[in-house]
Amino acid sequence: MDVKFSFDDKFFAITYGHGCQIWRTPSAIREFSPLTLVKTIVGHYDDVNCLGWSRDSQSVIIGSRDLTARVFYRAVHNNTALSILAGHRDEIIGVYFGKGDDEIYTVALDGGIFTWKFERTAVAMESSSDEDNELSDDESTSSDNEFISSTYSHRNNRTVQSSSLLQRHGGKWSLAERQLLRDHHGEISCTSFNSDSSILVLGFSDGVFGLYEMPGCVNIHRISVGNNALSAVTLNPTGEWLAVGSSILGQLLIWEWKSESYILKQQGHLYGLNVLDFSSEGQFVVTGGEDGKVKLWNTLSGFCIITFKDHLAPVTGVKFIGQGQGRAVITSSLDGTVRAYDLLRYKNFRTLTAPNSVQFTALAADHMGEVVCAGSMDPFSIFVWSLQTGKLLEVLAGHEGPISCLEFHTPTSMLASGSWDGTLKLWNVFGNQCVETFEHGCDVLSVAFRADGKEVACTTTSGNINIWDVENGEQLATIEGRRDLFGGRTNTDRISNENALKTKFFTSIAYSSDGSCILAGGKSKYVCIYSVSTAVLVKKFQLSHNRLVYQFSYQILVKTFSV
Amino acid sequence: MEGILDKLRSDRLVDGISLDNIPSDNDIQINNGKNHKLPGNASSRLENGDRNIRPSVMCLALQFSPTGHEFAVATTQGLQIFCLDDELLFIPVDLAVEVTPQTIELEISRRNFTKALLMSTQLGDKETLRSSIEAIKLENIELVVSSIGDVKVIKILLQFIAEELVSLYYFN
Repeated sequence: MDVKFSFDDKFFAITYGHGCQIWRTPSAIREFSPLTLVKTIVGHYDDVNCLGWSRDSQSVIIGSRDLTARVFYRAVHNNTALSILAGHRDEIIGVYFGKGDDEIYTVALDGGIFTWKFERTAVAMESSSDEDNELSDDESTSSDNEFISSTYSHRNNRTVQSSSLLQRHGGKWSLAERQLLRDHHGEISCTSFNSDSSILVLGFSDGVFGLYEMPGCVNIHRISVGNNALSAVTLNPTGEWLAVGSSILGQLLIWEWKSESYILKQQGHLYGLNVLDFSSEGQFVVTGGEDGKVKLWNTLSGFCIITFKDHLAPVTGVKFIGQGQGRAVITSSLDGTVRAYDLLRYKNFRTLTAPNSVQFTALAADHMGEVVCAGSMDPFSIFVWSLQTGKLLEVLAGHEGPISCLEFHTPTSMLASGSWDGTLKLWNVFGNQCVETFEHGCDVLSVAFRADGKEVACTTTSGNINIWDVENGEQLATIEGRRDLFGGRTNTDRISNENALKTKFFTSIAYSSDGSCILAGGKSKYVCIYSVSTAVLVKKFQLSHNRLVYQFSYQILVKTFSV
Repeated sequence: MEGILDKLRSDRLVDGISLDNIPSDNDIQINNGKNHKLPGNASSRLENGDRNIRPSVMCLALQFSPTGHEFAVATTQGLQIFCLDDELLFIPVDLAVEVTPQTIELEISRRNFTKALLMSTQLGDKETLRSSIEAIKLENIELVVSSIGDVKVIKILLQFIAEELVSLYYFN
């Protein structure tokens, strides 16, 4: 897939399947049906990978998986390619016009970089040198039989107006130079070309990218940024900054290649986020991911400030504690450690573990970080440490299933714990006793205290939100959330829509600071806000509209089924 | 992404099996012939399994900001922050080049109150909006109000006036 604007910005071309379409760019003024199709180009025998515009915006070159690239004119109405550039041994992933439009560079997956030159034939040529022609003839005969360059002349020149186009009809593209990058590492995964400075950028599948000066393909810079494949590279228009993206790592780099320094370096979590927490003033968010990393983000700029990568297994809990200078982040992980990082020197100043090796599934701490509680998968206990001394204070036992969630209420020193055994227990942490047990018919998944500590809300696998009065131990309300989470089918669903409804439930819940609303989300595309007093849905937000449906080649699927 | 559509795509079902369960050439190409490693496998010494599935949309964690104006949701696609404050978001849909605080002042001095008011709602700057509202003479209010037809502008103005009333600037 590729889409590019022409250099005069009046058109853009987009590839689809075996072809390509050219559209007129809509103007800034609002109009009825702003998009108009100018031309549809077909002719390739396999999917089109890439396209490139000439500098005069008259012609388009299209590179395909069928090992050829074809040059088309935008202004000509029929669909015949002016030239077919063949000779590559692997699919073409980058096609670019050179600075003066008389050169074409094609890049194939195997590292072949070909330079094609435009040559006028004797009829159209008035004063061009004959030596050039002979030279190219020699080359074309010597370069095996793979190389074909064919020219089609257009008889009906009704639409032809521009002189450059007339010139183009009296000539052909022929192979001028053939380079094979032998010293490269792995396959080429992405390419980019800056036509002002004639610099070709290649990203490789092993995390190396290189800058090559065209024509001649002289390597001027090469550096490795990791072990994973790069998915996109591009140069800025003036050619100093280079942006490199890697989709596997979720990484974006901006590199100034002349001074060899990073302008920007950002990376997301590798497999997604598990947990998050706001700092007390709302300026930072800390997130923990499946990749065992803990990241601190600025909510206004959206940039990651610091990454902690001490955990060896997925992070299951993060918590901000303290204020001002004494701020710290506590994290728990399935690797059996609870770590505390201070935010002055960004150091892991405390590591807490249980006597036996356990997997921590939930984390809670008071606002000042005096006590830290973590629930474990097996045995079904809650461990309580003092962060000051790093000593284990208590082990709270009583649950009959893995602990799924913990929440600490600082003013009342009350700890709420939910478990897969279907109970929600309230503990007095300092007295080592269970104050209250709320029974549910099904697993408790998440819990939240109201700010004043008088109400506690939890979600269960039945799809409900249960709200309990802490003092009297009474159930105040039940909110049925299943209908609100309903919607969104996976392609591999084997059950009907009605039954899919029964699998929906909330996995996380939060009270608003005034306690009037509850925010809840789960394995669904919606998050819902409920009013607590009336137990009705206030609003729901759809998290994503990303369909990312892969295009598929019909022939290949038929082949798969016939086997 | 899985779980976005409300209905199954029956064109991708063959004999009750979804075509998405069958690896096609394109999938292999996208992943460079390699499958994903299992989550949590940051250093490959723990486990060497792999998978080839598409991510499905879900919410893994959420939290209200202590300021109460926003909440953050950890989703498959990353961290999303939803915000109540409209004024933080500047949407220059109808913004023209000639809409600047200077031209608004000029329109006020020319007594084109309606034009100044409409321009300042487009600009989205509170100070400019306040000055253009305050510039309207008492006898002109009815005329200005009757000449505003756009619902969007009325919504912006109502919200602004509601916020201003809370501060009780005029009542003191």
